[in-house]
Amino acid sequence: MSRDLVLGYQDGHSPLHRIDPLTKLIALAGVIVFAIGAPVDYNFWMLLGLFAIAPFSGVDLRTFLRPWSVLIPLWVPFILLPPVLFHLQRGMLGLANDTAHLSLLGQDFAYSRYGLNYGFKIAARGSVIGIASLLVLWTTHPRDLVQSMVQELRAPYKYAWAVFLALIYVPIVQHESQTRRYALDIRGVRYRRMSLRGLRLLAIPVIFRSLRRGFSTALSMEARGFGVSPRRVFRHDLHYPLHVGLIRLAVVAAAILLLGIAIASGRFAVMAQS
Amino acid sequence: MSAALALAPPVSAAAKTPEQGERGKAARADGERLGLGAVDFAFAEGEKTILRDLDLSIGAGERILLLGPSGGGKSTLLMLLAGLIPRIIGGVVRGMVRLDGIDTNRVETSLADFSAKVAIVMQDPESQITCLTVEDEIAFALENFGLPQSEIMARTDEAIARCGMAEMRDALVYTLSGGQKQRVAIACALARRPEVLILDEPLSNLDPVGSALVMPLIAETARREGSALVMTAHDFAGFADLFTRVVIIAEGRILADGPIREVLRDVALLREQGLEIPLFLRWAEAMLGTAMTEAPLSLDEAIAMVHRAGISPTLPPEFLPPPPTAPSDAPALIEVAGLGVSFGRREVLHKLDFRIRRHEIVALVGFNGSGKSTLALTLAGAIVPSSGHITVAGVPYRYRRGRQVGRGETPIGYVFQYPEHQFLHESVAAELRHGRPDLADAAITRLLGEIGIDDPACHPYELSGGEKRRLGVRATVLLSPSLLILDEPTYGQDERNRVLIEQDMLALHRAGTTIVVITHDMDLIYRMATRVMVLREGKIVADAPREVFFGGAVDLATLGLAEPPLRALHRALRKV
Repeated sequence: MSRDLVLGYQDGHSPLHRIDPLTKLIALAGVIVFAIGAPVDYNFWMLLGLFAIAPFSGVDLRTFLRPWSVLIPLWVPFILLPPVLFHLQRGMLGLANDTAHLSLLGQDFAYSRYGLNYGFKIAARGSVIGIASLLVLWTTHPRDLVQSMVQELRAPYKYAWAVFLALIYVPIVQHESQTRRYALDIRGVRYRRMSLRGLRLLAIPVIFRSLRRGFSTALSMEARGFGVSPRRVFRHDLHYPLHVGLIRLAVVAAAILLLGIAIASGRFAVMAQS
Repeated sequence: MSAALALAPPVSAAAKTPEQGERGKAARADGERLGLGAVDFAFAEGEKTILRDLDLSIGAGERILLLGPSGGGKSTLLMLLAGLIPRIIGGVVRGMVRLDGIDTNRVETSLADFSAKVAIVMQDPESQITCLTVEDEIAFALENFGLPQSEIMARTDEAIARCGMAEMRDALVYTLSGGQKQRVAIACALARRPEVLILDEPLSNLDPVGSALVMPLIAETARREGSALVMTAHDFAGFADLFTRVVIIAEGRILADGPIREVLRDVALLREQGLEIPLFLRWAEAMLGTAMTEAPLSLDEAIAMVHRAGISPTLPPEFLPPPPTAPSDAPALIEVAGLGVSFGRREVLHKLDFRIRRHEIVALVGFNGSGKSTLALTLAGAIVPSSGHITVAGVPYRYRRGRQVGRGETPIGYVFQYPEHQFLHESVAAELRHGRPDLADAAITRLLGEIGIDDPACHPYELSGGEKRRLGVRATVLLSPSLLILDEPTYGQDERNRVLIEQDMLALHRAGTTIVVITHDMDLIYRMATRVMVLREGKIVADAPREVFFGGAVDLATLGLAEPPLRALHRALRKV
């Protein structure tokens, strides 16, 4: 019994799958810098751009949409808390004239307009980074990523392998959590995932099993000679055709352009000053 | 050995008495690959000794079957032989652990020294998977040891082909079934061509075809490479003749060690320790009694021995066929119509149609990865089907927001393949009380005692694998569900505990519960099931009452199933 897991590598041969891992990492770095540094309006355009790229990832629509069921609830506190907190601290923040009012169920709620705007900006930036990371995660085989880190970036292979394990652990933990949910459903246990009871019933056993599994995996790796040799052999060498090099050049150029836009917007300078 | 042959003992090593030390040295035999001399082991100083005074010498090419009751120290011994104890797991080892003649308790050795020569496949295949695909997993150790690329590819290809995994070469390992993962773990070990191959219950999760494929392969690889083989197994009836020697360990001590035919001849010892005794051996003992001078290693040998002794083979009462099941006209408990389950683009179950009547015991069998667990979870309401309908006790399953709602008044019990998934509480007593708050302390103590658990306050996660399984079954059975679904309930259990689990199931069945059991245990199916359903690639390819199924109407081999030992005995005696 197994399900396709939304946070793991999705096997495929899409154009994004064919781009080498290092190029995708460069692109992701560019997007992250851009998301943090560029004005928020630009991030909405970036989000649209990522949606446009998504069909080239080979990931089916259902898989693509599923993370939103997690992302959107995660946004809620980011969007709702700043208007309230900024309003409460309006004197200290110099937002005395920024207060707006919302009537809800006969109650009047005061909030900070700037805070609401700020919350939406965080959500937009988070979405850009989240979707870009997922596209890389879905289309990059962790093994290729490790090999690329070791052979192209000259990273020590033990550290590269730590990244690999972190990547493959995401679907494993997700799988554990899914099976645990099945068990709770079958045993008729009612719980809310975000409650303390839900945490105890769902998260703690999954964390426990995952930690123990982590120990077993380490044991298994050690027993199979991991770390015996200072230089690890990979059974295939990395050979990229010319067009991969050209794509990498184009991606590097695009990443530099994104970085330039982010710097030109002046946001980094403001962040540095503050 | 490590370049620095420092004479300082590792932290975990501790001195023994001079006599024990001398005995340890004397135990070393020529051609020995691994050896123990008067070894004691505890997980910490002052804690309970898990292994006591063990002397063992494992020579090149030896094939050793390690037997013992659950919790007797088998897995700990294997960890010690693989060098994981004390280097990774820790603990205090006293005595001599020899690797190629060098006492690793005196000469500093690393795990790398062991792993270069010793390969181990641990009991739970799931927890030792490191990579994402089957091919990566098999190549992992070879890449670590820095073999040339051509050699890595050749060995990986060979292991994949020989273990029958060509079709799943690029499959994501975490999407495989438990049995498929076990085959991957075995292939990993075989590809390394180690000097000593250690296997802890490697066949317990495999379908009969997988076992029949893998076991000769393990023995043949060991023979070809001259490797020593040390393996634990509860049910070894199908491959006893592949071993040359048997070691029996219980409560951390070696009770018997010798040629397989000699050790297995002592059926009383096997019985006393609650070990699984192959049916042909039990039958030979029943026929020959004390005249059995050596143990047979197959049914054919057992029959030949009985003939040689001038005795006419008969069927003592305990070997009679199970009573026939009466045709049932009970109403259907479960009705399934056009059931399909897909995960993403992968269709796991294809348009299944069947009914399960009340009071049936349905055995769900099939190859690893055929969709058995998915079907069971869907019947239990945990998985939302992509098409079709399920009706339980006349109430159709409805689903809302990915969850089944409105099951009606039909309680369903489910015993998971990995019981930890189902535990809800912090103590074994609370686990039994879930849904049964009426149980008094005395009743809890008695119920736990029956399944070999002494401490009611113990956390379920602290139990051994076998104890967890027994607790999972017992806690579910106590709820008296109308439908009980069990996923490999006897996996990894010794004879004594297997009987306990079967008794629980039968008691519940007598009380009116309908049972669906996923199992590879053909003997259990033959004795207990009223009906057998075979699943293959998500489709039902055979579905018949037990008598019809085993009565010759179904070609077991075509379906990838082994013949139940009891049926094989009846068939063989009919021929005689």
